[in-house]
Amino acid sequence: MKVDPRLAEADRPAVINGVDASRRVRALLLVNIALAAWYFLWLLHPDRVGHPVLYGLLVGAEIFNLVQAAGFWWTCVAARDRPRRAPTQSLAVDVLIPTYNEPPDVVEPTLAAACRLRWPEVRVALLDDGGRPEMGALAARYGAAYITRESNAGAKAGNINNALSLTYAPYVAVLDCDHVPDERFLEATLGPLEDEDVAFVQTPQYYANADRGVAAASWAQQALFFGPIARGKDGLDAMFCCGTNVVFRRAALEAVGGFPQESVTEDFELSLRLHEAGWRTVYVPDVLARGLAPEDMGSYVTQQFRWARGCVSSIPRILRARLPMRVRVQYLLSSMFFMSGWTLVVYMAMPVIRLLTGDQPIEATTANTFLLHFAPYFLAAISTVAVAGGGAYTFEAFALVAATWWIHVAACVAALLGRAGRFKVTPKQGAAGRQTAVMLPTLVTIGILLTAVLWGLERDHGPATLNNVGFAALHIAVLLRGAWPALEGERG
Amino acid sequence: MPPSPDSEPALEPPGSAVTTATSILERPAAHDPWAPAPPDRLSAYIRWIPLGIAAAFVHLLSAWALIALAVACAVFLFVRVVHSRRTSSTPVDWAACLAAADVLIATALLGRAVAPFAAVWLVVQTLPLPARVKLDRAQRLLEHRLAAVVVGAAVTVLLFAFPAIPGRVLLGPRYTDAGWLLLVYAAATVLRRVVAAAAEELSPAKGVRPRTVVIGMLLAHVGCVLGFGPSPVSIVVAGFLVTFATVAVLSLRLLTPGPVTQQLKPPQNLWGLPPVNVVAGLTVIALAVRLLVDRGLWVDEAISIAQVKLPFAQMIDQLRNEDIHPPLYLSMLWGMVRAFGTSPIAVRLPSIVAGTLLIPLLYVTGRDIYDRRAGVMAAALGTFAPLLVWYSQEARMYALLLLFAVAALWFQVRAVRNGRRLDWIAFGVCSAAMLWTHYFAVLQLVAQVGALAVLAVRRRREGESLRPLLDGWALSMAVLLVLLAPLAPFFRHQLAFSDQLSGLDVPARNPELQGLSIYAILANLVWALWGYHSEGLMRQIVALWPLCMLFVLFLLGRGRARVTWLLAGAMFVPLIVLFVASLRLRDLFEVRYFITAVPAALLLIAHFVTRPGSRRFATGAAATVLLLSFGVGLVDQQVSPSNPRRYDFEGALTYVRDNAKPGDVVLYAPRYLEKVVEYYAPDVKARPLIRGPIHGNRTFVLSSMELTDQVESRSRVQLLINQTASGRHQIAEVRRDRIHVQVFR
Repeated sequence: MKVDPRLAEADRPAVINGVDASRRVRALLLVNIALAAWYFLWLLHPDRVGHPVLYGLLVGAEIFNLVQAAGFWWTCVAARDRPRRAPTQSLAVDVLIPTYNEPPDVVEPTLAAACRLRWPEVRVALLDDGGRPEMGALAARYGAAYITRESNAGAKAGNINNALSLTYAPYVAVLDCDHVPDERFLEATLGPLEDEDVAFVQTPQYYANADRGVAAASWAQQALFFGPIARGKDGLDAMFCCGTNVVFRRAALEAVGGFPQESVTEDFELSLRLHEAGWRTVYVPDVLARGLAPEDMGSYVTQQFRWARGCVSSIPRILRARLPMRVRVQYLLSSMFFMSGWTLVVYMAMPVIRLLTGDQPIEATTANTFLLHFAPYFLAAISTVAVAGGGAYTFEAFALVAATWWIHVAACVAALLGRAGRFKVTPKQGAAGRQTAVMLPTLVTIGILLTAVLWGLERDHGPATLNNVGFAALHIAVLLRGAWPALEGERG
Repeated sequence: MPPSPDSEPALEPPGSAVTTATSILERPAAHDPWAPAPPDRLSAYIRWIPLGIAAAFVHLLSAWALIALAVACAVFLFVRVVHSRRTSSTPVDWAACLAAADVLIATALLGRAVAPFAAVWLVVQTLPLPARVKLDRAQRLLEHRLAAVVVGAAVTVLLFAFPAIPGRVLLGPRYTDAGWLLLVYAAATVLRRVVAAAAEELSPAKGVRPRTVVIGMLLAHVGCVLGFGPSPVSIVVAGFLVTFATVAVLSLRLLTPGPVTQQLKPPQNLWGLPPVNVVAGLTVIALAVRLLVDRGLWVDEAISIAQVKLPFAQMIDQLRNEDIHPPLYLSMLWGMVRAFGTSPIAVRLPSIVAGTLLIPLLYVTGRDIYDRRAGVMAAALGTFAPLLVWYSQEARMYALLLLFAVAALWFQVRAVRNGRRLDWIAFGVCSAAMLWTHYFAVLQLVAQVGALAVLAVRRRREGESLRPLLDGWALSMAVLLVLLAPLAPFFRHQLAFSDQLSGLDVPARNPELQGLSIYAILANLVWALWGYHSEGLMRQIVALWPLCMLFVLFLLGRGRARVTWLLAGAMFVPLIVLFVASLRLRDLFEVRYFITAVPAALLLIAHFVTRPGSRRFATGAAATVLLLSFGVGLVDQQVSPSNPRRYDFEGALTYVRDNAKPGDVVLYAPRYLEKVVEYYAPDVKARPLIRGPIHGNRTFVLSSMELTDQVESRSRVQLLINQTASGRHQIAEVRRDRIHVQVFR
């Protein structure tokens, strides 16, 4: 019988990315700024303009990524290592576990662990939007409340709001049904909530099944976020709620009308409202719950599209919100990350266009100095990611983001067209077999790049062509690596 | 209660990869359900003899009959080996199968002239060691590997000592063109036996199907031969490449760990066989590859020879006053020349030996730093790394420097881990030897000492005791200082005179690479791994620099082990320091000067390729691609006349020596060709090409524009040649690799 990885004690880190990266990133900051200036001063010189449109696109993409990189450096430098604070009061806590269609073997460990939480007064409620009798039986077996409702309006947000109306404890913990809490969960999170202006305490989403494939790459992305980025956001008082492993002050939730039901990223929107209303948020980097990463590409795409759709849609709202500038910029940085797929489109298009038409963004006579200016900037930026993440961010994580560039594009298009997003639950168990259909846009991209390479090589073997073949090959390799788990056909 | 995943081995499913692989060498043959009964090796051997005899008569048949016979024999062999695996197949069968098919292909393609070779070669390839007749499985495998190494080494040495025999006498005039490539072919023969052992060992343990191996090898071989053209040279090269690729894949298959859960077991359980045999085979191959040198001496080597011809005290004195290199290498060479003379092979022997010893040293270093897989991979990379091969064939100090540099790394890691005093002393000795060999070794030493400092700071921060580390460190530094003490005044004296010297070594760059352009930097980095290639090819390779971004991205999330930072330091410190220094003195960013970074890079690459947790396919694919790229780079570097580092002084000066008569004048430019002219044409009266009257019947002008590194000097040399030509007729002109000989009357 396979052991549930969420229940295994081995290899579980106590803290996400315990390395204090801020000092190292600060040391690298000056180097990064100098090298970015070295590159951009070269790039923005009028002599560099090759094909004007392509040049404009390239500069746009580079500036977008520079803004993202600068935001990352700033966030890392601001990282706060908050001293742990034990609670002095013992107010009641409602622990809410929303579920919709997850199987009982996923939900049961979470429910069991929630019922074992160390705290004087804990009431656990299983919020079943699926209305399944077996869930009712499960809740009864563990002595938890079973809450269901007639309609599924508002999806997860509606489900929690419904439960909020039926419960009354001053603190509310929300756990996704696949996140098994540590028995210390409440003891470690309720201390900061004793400050009256703190709306919620967020803890990391740790993936216990991240041993390989999509799950491992997905965890590497999470580790970077819940490591230096979340610590930095905490240092800037801009940490947002991530939907699970979080404890709210009920008064704060009620002050903003509960979870917003119109957004597919209800946690992000809720945080925005709380910050707008003047509440503070706190991040505790201790691993206090163990969940399941998306195990297959289909689950990952579902999750990422929902996040991208919700975050991109929030951009106008963030721009309008009454927030301190640093908080607003932090929200914008997080939202705009999901537009970075566009820059990949630009980068991938450049070698294709050069190989097919001969047009290139940088003027040919100065192109040979590109590497001299670009390479140091690129190396420093990558090194900073590696150092800040303490080695947690992997090539596979990068490749997975790159291979799903089209999610960002699709999310932006959907947001622009104003299509209403639907909350889709991220599947908690991977599908077996190949998932080529899910990665069709990636495969088509690889096909286009490959065609361009063959076309270019057929016509010419000169260094200029080979340089673009090199770029195309780079993209092909990254896309293939990212898509590999789906093509391989193994689970997760 | 469900079983814990770590509670093996009881829970390990029977017949799983690890259990089976581990048990192969431990289980008595009688308990092994698939193992053959102890075979009668002589009969196994004898049953191939008729085939050899038959092959000797194939010259009586027509070409079509030859091909038909080849096909029929191949089919028979496949069936025989594949179907008899569970009964009486032995590695000898495997080797014979591959050898016979290979010979038949060669015979079918090349015709009857090679027929006698077929019989002899088949016998040689299937030769067992004269030992006990009945052996159990483990003994048989061990014996087979020993046979591979012993036979391979013997054939290699024989071919090296008597190169004319196989080429002309045994194989006939058709194989004359193959020349020294036959050494490579001998290496392939050795490898075939390794293939046989590996395939047999893998067949039950890791699901490698013998049929796949045999058919794959033969198809690849035929494909290569057809691709290259059915010439003797192509058959030899194809035989080597295909065998080598198969060994690479099979070896990695043997060395690749299973799924992640299995890695929790002790490391010895991951191994199907002791890798020592693989490393021994690689060392033999490395020796063969390094002996396979067909280029003549070049300027720096000739300078070395001229120096070591002097009496020892005078040589040291000259070194102190007129050179900028430390004396260790030349002192060794001095002794070597006294013992073996000044033939090219004699003066290159120290480098060949050092370059060969580097292979087992890379293995033990990789093994001790990471694990055995990394060690074997590093040794395999080192065997074929073109730059390492190149400098192992040059009568200069770089091969020796590499040996000491890797040894210093190895002993440092051992010392830090074990804390043994002997390791600390060895670290100090090797570091001193590095510096006694080349002063730029100080860059690696800086990296190594820096790593120790970082380690000390970390240990202090983590509250560990610093005493053992500091004691050992102090001991090694004391040894280093004592050993360096005599070198210090020597170096100071050289430094004081260095203003009068023209520079370091003779510049060997392409004129196109002058100046520290981004191209020059990248070209040096490409040379470091893939060796020297033509200017056009280098420009194409350098244009592929975006793939370096892939490598950088690939490193994300890897190399978190502290020892990786030591290797990274050993790799990057020389590069960065020389890069910065070259902003003032451009010639300093030259691959020879940061050559110590190459083994560190190979060790890192080996680690990244074989790191625990990586998938078999990824590991195998990466290893194969890397090794094949090294192999292709090596072949191109060694045989391509467009290699910019090949200078055929031997050919050019042989022409001059054979044609110059008393009364003729021989002029050369640039002036530092003096020693190489003296070496190859000692009886010819020659002088540098300078302005002034020329008196003689005929004037031979020997020049190399590629060695004239500055545009102004090149113009000057051309001007002098033009002046020499004015009023004379050019009566002959000879062009050798980068050497130009003009004869005027």
